[in-house]
Amino acid sequence: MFLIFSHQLVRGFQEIYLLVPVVAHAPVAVQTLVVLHAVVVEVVVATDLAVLGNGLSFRSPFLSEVFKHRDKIDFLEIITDHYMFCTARKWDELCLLKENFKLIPHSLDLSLGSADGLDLKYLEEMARVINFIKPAWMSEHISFTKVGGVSIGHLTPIPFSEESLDVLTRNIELARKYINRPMVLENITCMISLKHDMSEAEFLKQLFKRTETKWLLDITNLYVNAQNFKTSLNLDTYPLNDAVQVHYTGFTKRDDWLLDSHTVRTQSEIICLLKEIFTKKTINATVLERDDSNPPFNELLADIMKVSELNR
Amino acid sequence: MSLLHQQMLLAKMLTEQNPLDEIDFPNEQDTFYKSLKKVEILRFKESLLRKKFRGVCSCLPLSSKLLKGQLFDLFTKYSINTNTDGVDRYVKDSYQFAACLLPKLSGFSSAVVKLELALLEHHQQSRKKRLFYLNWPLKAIIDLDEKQKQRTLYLKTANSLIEINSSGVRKH
Repeated sequence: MFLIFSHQLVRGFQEIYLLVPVVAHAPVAVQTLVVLHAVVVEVVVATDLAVLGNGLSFRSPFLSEVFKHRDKIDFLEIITDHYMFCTARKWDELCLLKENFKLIPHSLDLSLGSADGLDLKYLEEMARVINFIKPAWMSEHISFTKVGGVSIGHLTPIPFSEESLDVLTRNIELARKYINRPMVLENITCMISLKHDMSEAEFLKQLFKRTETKWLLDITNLYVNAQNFKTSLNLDTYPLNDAVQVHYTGFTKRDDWLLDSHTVRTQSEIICLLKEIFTKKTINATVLERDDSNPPFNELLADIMKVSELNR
Repeated sequence: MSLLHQQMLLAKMLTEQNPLDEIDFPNEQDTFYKSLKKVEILRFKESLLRKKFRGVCSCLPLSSKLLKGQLFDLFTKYSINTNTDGVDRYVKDSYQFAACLLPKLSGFSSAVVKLELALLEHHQQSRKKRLFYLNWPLKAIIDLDEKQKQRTLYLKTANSLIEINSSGVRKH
């Protein structure tokens, strides 16, 4: 016997369907349909996320190229912040992209790790953009960017601790009241050593379990951190089952320090790690990130195709 | 130390105006400060500046990597941020930044850029606003918004107005 289980959470009520089918030679079994109506919940969890394929982190200079090569790009990841409080012209760009591509909004400044809570004005506007796009999911970072009225302007690490988990859980719960989309969270590079109470892998496991979010696995960030802090990178210790999306990009070296600069081609070390991930877990979406020193677009396409071959 | 307290101290350290090689660790006996490494804070601040600088470069016609490198050295030395302490020092720093920047911007003109700086206006309430007038091709205005504790540097070219403050770089 096997159990077919379909679990769907919708805004307003919760329905669970349990279907117990009959195995050919087993005694007659009874199919039971149970529908439970629960208290209104506004949580959308990341079950059964769409498989989007292989995409690109969109930047305005790419606009004409992505249209020319749309058959090779499965979807675009857009930076939500670029379309918040934006000009009419910028909003038109978003509408054009939405009409022609599947979009995943990736936000930068919600600051989910802020111990003093979320910026509600930012959250409302972010929600407006995301709810307009209606994406398969949205993503943010496991970090903070502002606190006490001070904007750092960069993703800043938080310690891997119970207190950080509490802060993230609280902020994610609040964000969900505004954003009706599954949430996927990205690991960042750590330029600063903080005192941690647990490993990053354990922290991520607990985070995804407590908040029912999923993982945007930035493999370049994991690699850069391991190299900079001279630790080994063992993917088996990480919650790969929670990974639904992967970011990859090239890193640069300044003195003895690696930076996920997003300005060079993805190196072979990162490609090898991607191969390893794909053998262990089916990834719903991969995204190539490139912010500066843009090469001919064909080079970006070649990298996307290479990863696409690996991710079959 | 609570997470909130740690974050507020870190945010202050990462954004406050001081030369890159002078980081103030108020109480080195505290375990939070003990876990921080000065070299990492410096590196983080440099990364922030490079990010800001990339924003500036995207608005200006700078094509040479060497020129960008030279400019970045100047940019880090006279970095623009929002600390309202030491107005005179900020004013002087911005003046110096503009004074160094202008001659390097060969992308604007084939002519040699002669730098003439004059303080055109000095308000009675001197902390409100300082105006710096620079000869063609750039006019630079530094606006002090004391209420919002924000300084904005406006660079005006023939075709556009570039606004630089703690929120980033905007081109109008």
